[in-house]
Amino acid sequence: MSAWRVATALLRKDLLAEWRTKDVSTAILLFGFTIAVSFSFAFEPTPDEARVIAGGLLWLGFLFSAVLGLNRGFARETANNCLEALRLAPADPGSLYLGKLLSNVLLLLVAELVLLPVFGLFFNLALWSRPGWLLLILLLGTWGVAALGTLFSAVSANTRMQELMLPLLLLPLTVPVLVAAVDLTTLLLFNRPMSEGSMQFRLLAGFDIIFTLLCWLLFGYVLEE
Amino acid sequence: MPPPHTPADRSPRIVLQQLSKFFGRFVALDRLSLTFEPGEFVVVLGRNGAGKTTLLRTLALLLQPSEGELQFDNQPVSRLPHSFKQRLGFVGHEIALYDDLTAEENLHFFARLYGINDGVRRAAEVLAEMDLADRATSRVRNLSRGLKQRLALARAWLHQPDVLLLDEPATGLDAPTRERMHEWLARCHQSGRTVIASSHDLAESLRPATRVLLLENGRALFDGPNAPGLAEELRAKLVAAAREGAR
Amino acid sequence: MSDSTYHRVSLAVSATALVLLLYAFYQVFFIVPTEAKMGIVQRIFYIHMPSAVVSFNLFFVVCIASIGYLKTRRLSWDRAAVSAAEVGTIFCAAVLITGPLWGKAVWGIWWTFDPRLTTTLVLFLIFVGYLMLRLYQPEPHRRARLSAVVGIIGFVNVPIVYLANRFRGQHPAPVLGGGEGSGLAPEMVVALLWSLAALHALGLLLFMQRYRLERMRTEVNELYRALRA
Repeated sequence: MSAWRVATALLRKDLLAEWRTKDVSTAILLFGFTIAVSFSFAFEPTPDEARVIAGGLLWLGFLFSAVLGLNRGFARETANNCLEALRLAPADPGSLYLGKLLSNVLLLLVAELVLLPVFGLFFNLALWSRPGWLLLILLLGTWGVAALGTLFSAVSANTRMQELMLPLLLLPLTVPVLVAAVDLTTLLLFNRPMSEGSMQFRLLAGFDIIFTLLCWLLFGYVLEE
Repeated sequence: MPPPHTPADRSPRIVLQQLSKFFGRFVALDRLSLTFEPGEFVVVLGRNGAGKTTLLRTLALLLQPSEGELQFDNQPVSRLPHSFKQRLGFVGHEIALYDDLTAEENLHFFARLYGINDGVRRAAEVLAEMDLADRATSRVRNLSRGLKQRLALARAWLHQPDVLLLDEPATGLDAPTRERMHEWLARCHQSGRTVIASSHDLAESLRPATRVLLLENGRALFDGPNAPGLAEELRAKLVAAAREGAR
Repeated sequence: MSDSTYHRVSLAVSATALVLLLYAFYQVFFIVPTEAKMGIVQRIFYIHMPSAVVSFNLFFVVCIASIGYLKTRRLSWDRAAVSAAEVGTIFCAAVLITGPLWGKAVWGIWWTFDPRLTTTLVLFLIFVGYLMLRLYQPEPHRRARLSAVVGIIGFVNVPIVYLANRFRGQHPAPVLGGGEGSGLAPEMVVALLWSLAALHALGLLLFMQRYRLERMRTEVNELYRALRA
């Protein structure tokens, strides 16, 4: 069985389970919404102020919601010890990682696309002036979070204090994503030319490539008993 | 009369040499040296904590030996490719099935993982064989323990492995289902497959086996062919060992 | 390494570290001229900067040891990793304490988003996460394996964190260690080198002691198992 076939099998299975239960999506959406509301109460920015901090608020919101979503997504594998079935399969662990990564990226992206207008509403943001760039930033940033998050949700699964472990491990490591994505989003909101963010784009792309590769290589070690 | 199983390609010869497994300070398997010839039907007996589960999980390549060697057809496990797992089927303590998917959806997924080309047809076959056809579209969450166990067996059988490793497979099964499972295991064995199953229950499980292995504290207390009256002999051995341990 | 050899080496390293520390102290407080702009407080730089270097080097050791464990599955590599991580965390903490102290004294602000300081903070958090993960994993090999993965990923991450912060143009911050950019006086370079040597020696000493402790723990486990047999 090819790596791609295994990855897509896992992706299909995850999407099917998600469609049935909507565990991950509801977690991300509800939590993201709550964060947006909390931020708006905490900061009450004017539209001008909002543009300055919105990038940060948005990506913080995404990041925290993502941690929740990733934990719930992996909980599906630890229930009934389904992880064992994955370990037994003659599949290369790297392909299992890819499948899980793809499903995480998809679910996170969909939730973020729903949350964007919510943030836009509360902070009076003109987000959609350059949708292509916005989507690119969203994709690159989310991929980075998911690449590490998929591996670390496996690391923290079956650990005591797993709700603590995932954010504790993931948040410091996603600092580059946070920094670059926030900078780029702020550029977008201020209608600056996106060429000013070329270093950040390159950083995000590099981050995504390096860590997808690294996590793909290391996932086997995490999957072991 | 269900059709006989397609014969195994070639069951591997399994050799354990001074194999030990530690979990920190706890010694689960203690310098075990055993050989399983292709096509044997072995039942592994022992008290709780004797090492049955650890042995089966090590054979299923879920655990790596702490010391010693495990070889399949003279290949040490460290050098076996992932694809070798195609030849193993395992049922453990937990069913490892997705609660929110139906029985057949679970099997479809695992069929794809195992590279089975006609997964849908094969899943239907296996469900029929395990008498689960009428529950194919039920979510696993809604199945009783016994049905879940049968589904787990179905999943282990999906890719027609050469070696079946079953950790207390009769758990949760009612008496008639247990009978059927024994018959099914006998058929697997007759098609040339190696079957290694562990059990709690001395008398019940001995019947279909060709060889009996009794573990205690990670060591083999008894290892020999199945014969009438063996249950009594083993029971006596266990009692003696318990008294030894208490001293 | 046998006990007696270890004791001899340990003694040698302790002696070296002590001598270096005393000499570096002497250099920093008696030889080096007072910096023009910042005054006496600038001398904190001779702890601040070398500690950062030591902690980065130790994280490098964590990474190498992690790879070593994953390749060989020998716990000796894991012992090296945890020893380096714990000692590295201490030095990291030293950077994070001396940094704000210096900042407050010189510029009146506790924290600046200087890329180097920020990277050290992230490094500290990664170290802490690494150690916490180990805390919740009782089984030695599982603990070694999972923390090895974190160690490798963490190490690769740190330079990227630095780059990410470098590219931020928004808040030009007073750069700690501005002495380097503007050119250090030769005596300062000498003092810095002695401090680097001293703190590395200290780091090595602590590493060795920690490693030894871990080795003894493993031996205790082995004895337990042997008793049972």
